[in-house]
Amino acid sequence: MTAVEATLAEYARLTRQAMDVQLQALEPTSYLDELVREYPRRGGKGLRPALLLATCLAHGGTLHDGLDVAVAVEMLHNAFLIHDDVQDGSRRRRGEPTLHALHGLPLAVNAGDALATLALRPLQAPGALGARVGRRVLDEVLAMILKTTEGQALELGWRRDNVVDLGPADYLELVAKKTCWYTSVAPLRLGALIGSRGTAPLGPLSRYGFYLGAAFQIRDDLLSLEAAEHGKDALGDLREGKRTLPLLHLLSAASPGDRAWLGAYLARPENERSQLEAEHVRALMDRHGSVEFASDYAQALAAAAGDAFDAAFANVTPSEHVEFIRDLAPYLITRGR
Amino acid sequence: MSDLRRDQIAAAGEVFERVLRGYADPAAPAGGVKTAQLRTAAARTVDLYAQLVQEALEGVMHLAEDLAPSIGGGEPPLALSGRPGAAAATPIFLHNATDAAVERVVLRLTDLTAPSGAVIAGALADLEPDRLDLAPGASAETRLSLRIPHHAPAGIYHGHLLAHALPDAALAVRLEVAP
Repeated sequence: MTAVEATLAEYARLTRQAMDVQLQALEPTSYLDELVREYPRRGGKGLRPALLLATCLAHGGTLHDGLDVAVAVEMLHNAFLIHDDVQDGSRRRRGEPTLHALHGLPLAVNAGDALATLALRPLQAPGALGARVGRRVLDEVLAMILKTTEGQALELGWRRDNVVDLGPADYLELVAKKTCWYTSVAPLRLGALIGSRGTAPLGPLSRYGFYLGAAFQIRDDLLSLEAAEHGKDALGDLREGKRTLPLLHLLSAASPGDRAWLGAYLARPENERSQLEAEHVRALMDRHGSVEFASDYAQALAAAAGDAFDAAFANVTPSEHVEFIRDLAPYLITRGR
Repeated sequence: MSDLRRDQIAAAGEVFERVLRGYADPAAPAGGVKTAQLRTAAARTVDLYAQLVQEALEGVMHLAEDLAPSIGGGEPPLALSGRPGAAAATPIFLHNATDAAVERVVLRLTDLTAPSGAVIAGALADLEPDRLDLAPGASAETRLSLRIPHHAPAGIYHGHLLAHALPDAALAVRLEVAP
């Protein structure tokens, strides 16, 4: 285990402990309580709370200052995953069947609703943060939720309408809203806001968060193309027709014949796309250098993240927390799951 | 850095700036490390005091709301008006929203002060009756009457109506003395 992974694991442990306390608000039932606990139980990288807490500590705050908000963000993440799996028709999450595959759509959607609502409870009382910072934290979390749903709507809309005339800029806009905002931008902003009591500039941190989050998402796209087990469906993104960067590159680089075939493939409902066809798309990606293109793009964004990090943390006292945040970018684009 | 990589980063930067637009940074301008630490420490201190003040005010508000909803910061000030030499009067209602009797409520008007520094003594006020007993869930009325001195300069005066039984409650009073 690398130092980054060890730190991530420790933040994840602290967050899960605090999350368990929040989840005790539910009556123990097999229809809701167990479902709500299912995805948190399976673990996960804990990237969001780690980024929030490390940024909070780096800016002079304490774990106690940031933990409630870190829990809120992690619970929202798990709620988004439940609904995301339903919307995408995914079958596996974190190495096990998705919640709706286990319990059916109605109960899974309801559990997602409950988890999203419970996530806001830690934000009700500002506590040690005080009213001024507490209000800004709530504003940040609400903005994060809205941006994420805007991004999700964009992706779902493109798939419904089979939009294929898309370039990297479209992809980055999607990723900035769907992934970056709640994966990296908001955790960085929230951590700095809490740790500095609202005195740290948030713009440079947001830029770092965008580059970091986009590099993270491209790595996720690439992992979905690998045959190795990484907790999700093999070639799941291709089966679901997700507009990933490798797919968009393939659409622009493929021959007219292949492009027409791809358009028809993506136009069909997911249950009418076979595994063989998904494997054919994957082979086309290799032929046209789409995987290499995406990998290079992730490297470029990671390099830009390094520069953005320097700007964002120029006035922050050097510490182990700052080092952890700096080391996240290279870790995220080389991670195996 | 290759041209392609530079173009990729620039394109990403443009997209990110567009998405970030509308989320202006309300924070203080950047400074050195020590300045940032100082700002954070100062902000923490200010927040601590603000929190203490807010908690104290919330305590007063809750007590006032429980015992007499008409006495509290959320209410508009009690308005009085009159000319020098005349009397300004208004009824006052107290509502006991609690389950306990509140007895011997004695109201008292503080001195009223104008921005110019002119003062009208609270002792010139009469309350009739001057003592109220409130049964649980009951209301009671008293009448405030203030004699405006002949020499009182025209203007707006401010003061408070206090209740002996409600030490944390204060009803703002606004008196307009006509020229």
